[in-house]
Amino acid sequence: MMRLVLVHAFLIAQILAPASYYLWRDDPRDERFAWRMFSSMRFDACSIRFFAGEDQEPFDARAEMSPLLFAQMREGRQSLIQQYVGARCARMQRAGEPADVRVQLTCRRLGDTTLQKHLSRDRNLCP
Amino acid sequence: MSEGAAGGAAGLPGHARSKGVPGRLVDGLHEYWDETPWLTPRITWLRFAFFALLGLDAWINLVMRASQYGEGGFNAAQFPILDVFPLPTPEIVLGLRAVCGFLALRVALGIAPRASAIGTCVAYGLVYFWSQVDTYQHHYLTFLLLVSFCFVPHQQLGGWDRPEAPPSQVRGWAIRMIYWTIAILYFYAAIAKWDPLWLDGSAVEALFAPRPHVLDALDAAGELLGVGRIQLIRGAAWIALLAELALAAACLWSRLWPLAFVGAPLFHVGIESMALHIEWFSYYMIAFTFIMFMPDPVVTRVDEIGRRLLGGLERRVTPLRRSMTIDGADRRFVLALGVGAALIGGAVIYRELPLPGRGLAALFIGVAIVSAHWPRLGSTMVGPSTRAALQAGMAVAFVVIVYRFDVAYGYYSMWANGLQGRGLYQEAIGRYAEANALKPDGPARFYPIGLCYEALGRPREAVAAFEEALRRASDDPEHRERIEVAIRRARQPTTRY
Repeated sequence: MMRLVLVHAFLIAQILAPASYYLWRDDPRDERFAWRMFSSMRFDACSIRFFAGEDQEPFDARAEMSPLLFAQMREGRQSLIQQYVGARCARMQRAGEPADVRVQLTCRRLGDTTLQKHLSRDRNLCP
Repeated sequence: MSEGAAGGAAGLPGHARSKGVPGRLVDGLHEYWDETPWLTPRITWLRFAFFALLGLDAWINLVMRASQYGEGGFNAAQFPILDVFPLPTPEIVLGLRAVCGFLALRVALGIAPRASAIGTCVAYGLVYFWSQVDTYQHHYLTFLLLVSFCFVPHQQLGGWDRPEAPPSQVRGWAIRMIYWTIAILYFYAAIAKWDPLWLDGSAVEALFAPRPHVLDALDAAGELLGVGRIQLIRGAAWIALLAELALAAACLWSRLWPLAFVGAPLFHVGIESMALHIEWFSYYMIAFTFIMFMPDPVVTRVDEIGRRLLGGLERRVTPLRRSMTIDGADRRFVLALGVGAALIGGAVIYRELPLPGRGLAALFIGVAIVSAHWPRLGSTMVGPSTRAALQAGMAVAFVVIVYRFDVAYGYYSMWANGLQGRGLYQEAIGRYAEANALKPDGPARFYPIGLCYEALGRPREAVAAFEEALRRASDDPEHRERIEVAIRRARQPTTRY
């Protein structure tokens, strides 16, 4: 009986993981576990810029990670951006600097001329 | 309904019928998951195809990308809660992927298959959840399939550890789960295409745009059928959606198998022919769907033909496997054989593998070899001496594959490319040089070395590197032109681009 329960739990987890993309996950660009192969999202053109410190100096986050991770951030995956910003803020705090990291993320959907702003540099993302 | 996916469950041995609605429901689920008979050759082939592909994928593609882990001192795990783990390093990722490939190939051959499947799943899952560096959908699919394969009744399948003929049918919930996993994949892939941008052809057009060979083929087809390119693209978009829904249904309803047996591999061959840079996803799906959907009479016939063709080989190998079948009394000898094979295999990897982390790879694979010889009380082992020789041979094969498929060259090239992208030009030159040392004659990475020297403001070295790139370049006029432009540019160091 317990085995049947575990088998169904595994099955339901597999069904819910992609369903969560449509039902409660709030980042449409995080398509992990959702089986969205060749989805139209991959054709969005996104632009990402990072700013740090009190003066909000722009900096190149690409220099701090694998290009494979940076490519995913540039596609606008916000959970990954949050993880990176969290690590960067922690590093600034450890160095005794004021933790202030801002991100400007804008994307343009395929065939659309309107630029959508997903993250604004007005907000400090450090906790 | 086909024997493979249907099967009656009346009169189940060892399972008492329950009374009442809940009892009947449990009985029904039990029959559905546990008592469905599947043709043994189908599951043996499925296991072979999946684990052989995974073994090679791990040794070629995944080892090559190990250099990307922990780059720049930042990592993001699949779930933030896992970020408490230390930063992954290329060395440990390489070691885990080397042993993952080794264990996967051992499952494919049927050597200690259950323990090896669990080991493969652990080694693969550790790296997958540790970092988002490799987050293609097929990496997730591989992990889910590995979980199911841990519970497949391996002891009943054909393979090295089973010299006697396997039963004609096997049962097990994990087999059914593999079909469910693929069904869920196809279903949600179709859902993702229920999108105005997909259905009006815009997304497909964007997908085809950088692939002139696909557009040419479309135009040729359009001319033949008398329709325009955009109509064909819209048609292709709808066909892809409907095909995925049909394949999802086929996974769960065996009446559709004859259709899916032909259609699914063709569908994935078509995707692969478009060169969409999705790594080996198409190969996995072609192999899987071809075997999963093969109608039962075809499975039986192919199995018969295979037995006839390989009968001679089987007759020669079986005595080898049966020879020295060891029982509990000879456990120390079995272990000594394993340790010997581990030492040989480990030494070859440690001495010959041209990659950092070769020590960990040698250690992990050595431990894996010994574990397959670990004596268990009362257990017997089939042909331990040939098993030891086979495993030592697999360790050597790892090194051969790394050389044969330019894995180390790719490893250093990717590493250098990342460093170059991060503006660490001097370090990048060092890694490119390591890549080039592995390709002393063929075309190598001199062009990016030239770019790095240019970025460092060292035009003389840049020109030398570009000239070497030109000397080794292919006849492709575009490629040669690009290098010649770079040479002219580097000779005028005041020019800035």
